[in-house]
Amino acid sequence: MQMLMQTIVTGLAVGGIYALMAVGYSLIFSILNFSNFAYGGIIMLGSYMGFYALTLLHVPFAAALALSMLGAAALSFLNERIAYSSLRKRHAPSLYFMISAMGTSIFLENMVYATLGSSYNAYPEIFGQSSISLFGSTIGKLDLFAIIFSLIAIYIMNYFIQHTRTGIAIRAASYDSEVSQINGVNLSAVIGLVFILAGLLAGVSGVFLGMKYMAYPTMGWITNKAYISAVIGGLGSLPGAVVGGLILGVLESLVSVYVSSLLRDVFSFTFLIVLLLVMPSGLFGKYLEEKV
Amino acid sequence: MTAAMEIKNLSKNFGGIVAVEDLTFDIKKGEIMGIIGPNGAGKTTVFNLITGVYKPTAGTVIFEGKDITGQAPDAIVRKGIARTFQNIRLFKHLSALDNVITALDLNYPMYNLAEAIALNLPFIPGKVKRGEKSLQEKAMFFLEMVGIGDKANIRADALPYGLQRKLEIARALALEPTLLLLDEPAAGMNPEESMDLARLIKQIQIKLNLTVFLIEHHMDLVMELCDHLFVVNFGRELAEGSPAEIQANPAVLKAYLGEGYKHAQS
Amino acid sequence: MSYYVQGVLIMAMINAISVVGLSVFTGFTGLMSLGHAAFIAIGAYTAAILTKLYGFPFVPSVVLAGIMAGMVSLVIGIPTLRAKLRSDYFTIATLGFGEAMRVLLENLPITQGARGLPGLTPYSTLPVVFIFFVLVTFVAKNFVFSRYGRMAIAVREDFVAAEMAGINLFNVRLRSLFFSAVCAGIGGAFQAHYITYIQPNMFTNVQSTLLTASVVAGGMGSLTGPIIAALVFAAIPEVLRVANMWRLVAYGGILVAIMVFRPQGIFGYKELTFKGIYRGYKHLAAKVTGQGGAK
Ligand SMILES: Nc1ncnc2c1ncn2[C@@H]1O[C@H](COP(=O)(O)OP(=O)(O)OP(=O)(O)O)[C@@H](O)[C@H]1O
Ligand SMILES: [Mg+2]
Repeated sequence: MQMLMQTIVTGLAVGGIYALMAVGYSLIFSILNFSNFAYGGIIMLGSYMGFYALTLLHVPFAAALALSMLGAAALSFLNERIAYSSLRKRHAPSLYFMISAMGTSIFLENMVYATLGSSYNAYPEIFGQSSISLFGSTIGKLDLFAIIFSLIAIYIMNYFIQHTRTGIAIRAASYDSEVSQINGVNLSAVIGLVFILAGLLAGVSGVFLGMKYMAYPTMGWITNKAYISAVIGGLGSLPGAVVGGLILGVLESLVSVYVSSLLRDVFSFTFLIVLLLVMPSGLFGKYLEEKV
Repeated sequence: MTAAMEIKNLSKNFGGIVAVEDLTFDIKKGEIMGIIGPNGAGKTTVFNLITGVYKPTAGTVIFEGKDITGQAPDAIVRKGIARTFQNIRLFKHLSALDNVITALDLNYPMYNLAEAIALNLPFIPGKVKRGEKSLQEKAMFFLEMVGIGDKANIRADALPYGLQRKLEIARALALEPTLLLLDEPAAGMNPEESMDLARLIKQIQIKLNLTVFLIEHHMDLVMELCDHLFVVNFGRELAEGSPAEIQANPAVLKAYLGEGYKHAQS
Repeated sequence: MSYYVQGVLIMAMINAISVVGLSVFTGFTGLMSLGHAAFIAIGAYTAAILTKLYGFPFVPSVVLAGIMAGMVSLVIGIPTLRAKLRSDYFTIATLGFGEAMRVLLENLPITQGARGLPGLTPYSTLPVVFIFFVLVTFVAKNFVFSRYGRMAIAVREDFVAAEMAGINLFNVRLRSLFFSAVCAGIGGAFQAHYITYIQPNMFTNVQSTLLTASVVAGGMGSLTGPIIAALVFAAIPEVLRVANMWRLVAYGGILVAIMVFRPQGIFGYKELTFKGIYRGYKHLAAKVTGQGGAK
């Protein structure tokens, strides 16, 4: 029982970061209706920015986090303007978007690899190794901070989208981008904004991932977990992404402890495929038939 | 006359939107039936439900006495139903001829996979090359039937809009259906062109002995061409009858003219 | 022919074998995979295990490697393609498949984990590779310029209209997936016996990217274009002696640039044929307007 509790708590801690990534990824999905495979690269660069801000600029943690968020947001914005906007204007098939996204991802990853090297960069200790106990299980301070901050960030994002005028414009555009453009919503601006918001989240998740697992060129593969989380929750649904991330984190943690840590990733990907087959719209998704 | 198709209590919801609600009607064999209604009334959705593109939320679709509800589109096509699309959906990078040949494959598979891969040797005539040749001839028949035989080798997306619509009809005819669904075949045409099209449709219907079910906003075409009309509004049945009856139906006039109707009357 | 040039040529043709398959899959059928490196890996491991551990002759091992990769593609393809997943869902599923396969290779006893299988015999000589390359290309050409290719193109162009033309999406997509997996498996078998060792980490996105970049740059809907691109891509870095990662930076950039500026690639929807070369410009110009060249 004690062990089960501990496993779940550990799972939630990882799940919080998955949730953060999944929200950013789902946000983009909901408006452009395609999977931005370049998102992992943005997160990875966010992680590097946080790392260099702390080790080269020696700024305080909060400033490093802010810098990384801004940097990732700028990158995410550029990602859309360079790799997708002209495809969007041409109404290119989604295959083209995916190829462009894949190209961006390969480009970013190997750019970092070629210029900064393949080494693993450990973040300086911010929270120490100390942990606190919670309901009889222990949780690292970093994990606790990560999950709380992640949930706050997601909450603010959700509030922004649900309750501000800009947020309503985003939702209108994601509901039907062609109709809302007629209604005078500047679609390009809204899409740019969505990429900026997703970039901000990418910065946060990059820093937390870096603190937990270090920063390195291929860390973007962890973002595969973002896709899985988003699919669990239902692609395009923000609450779904959060719940999906937490569920995936806990499930993985349970598999690692009770089955085999080697099989954890095989489990996740198999789970993903099974889920796509039996429940393509996930827990909260709107899997609409394509309009014909 | 017997019914080619019977639609019973057909409904479709998209999330919260009720696109089609409890529609019941028959399409008689050999007639040209029209479905009309304002934008967003659910006409295209009815086509999508009949052809298996969407699965109905409730209700049944019976074609030539057999229940085809919820079957896959290609299975429904095999039963003898073909359609065109409101927003033209041609195979853009294929020539007009190849667009039609693609549809001919259904009833005229000239060779199998092994023959295609192993027997098609360079410079040597064989089953595959012969098969392709005869398909080309058959395809020309359908292109000529809609009057675009001279455009056979032009890429579909290079054809003018009106001819693309005709090519879609040729492709549908190549499936050799008994029931043909046309979704706004005259969209984007001027009154003169749409009357030409009406004559063409009538001619084809007689020649190939088809039942036709069509959606159209050009009222002159509808009234000229259709034997029978079904009117929908907000997904529900509004009226059904002959073109003359529909033209005189106050509910229909109101749905089409909205508030202006009362003014028009007074 | 110098030893060095021969080596470049062999590697180029090995890549081209996989590229031909991916061209049918992505270029002609319009599906995208992030997991094709896994099929290459399956082919490589199957052939390596057969020749090294069981003393099988090489050519049958290559054939079996292709069949094995094809079989595995059915395992993943049948459920996902039958479910008619949206195209990007399918791509995510292939990503999951590729990752799961890599983890499996790292952990199965017979693949010897991360250590891999070293000390394979260098069977992949120029004549064998060339013969398989010609065979695969011949099959692909006949496939593409048949009613089966036409169905694949129809599905790529508009899958709803294709279904309404009586085409069974599942059959068409599965056929293309199977063919591309067999090609990848054969390519993998040759690769293993050219480099003479294999490890799980050789079969990652680097490989998939190289293949996709060749298909996209060569032109979707063309066979000759991607083959030429595969040959060029294999030769250029050797000539320029650039480091592998800069090469990948360039490939990533090329993918984006082509999508933005010239999505049809160099040879989009066209073929370079001998006939075409003979008849020169006039013939090519006629093909631009839609008549496939090699029919
Ligand atoms: N795939 C879908 N997802 C969500 N809503 C849909 C979908 N397809 C249709 N609808 C909705 O169903 C309603 C009916 O649409 P439909 O296309 O059938 O109308 P229509 O009568 O053909 O109109 P028009 O004359 O403009 O073509 C509309 O409100 C439309 O937005
Ligand atoms: Mg309509």
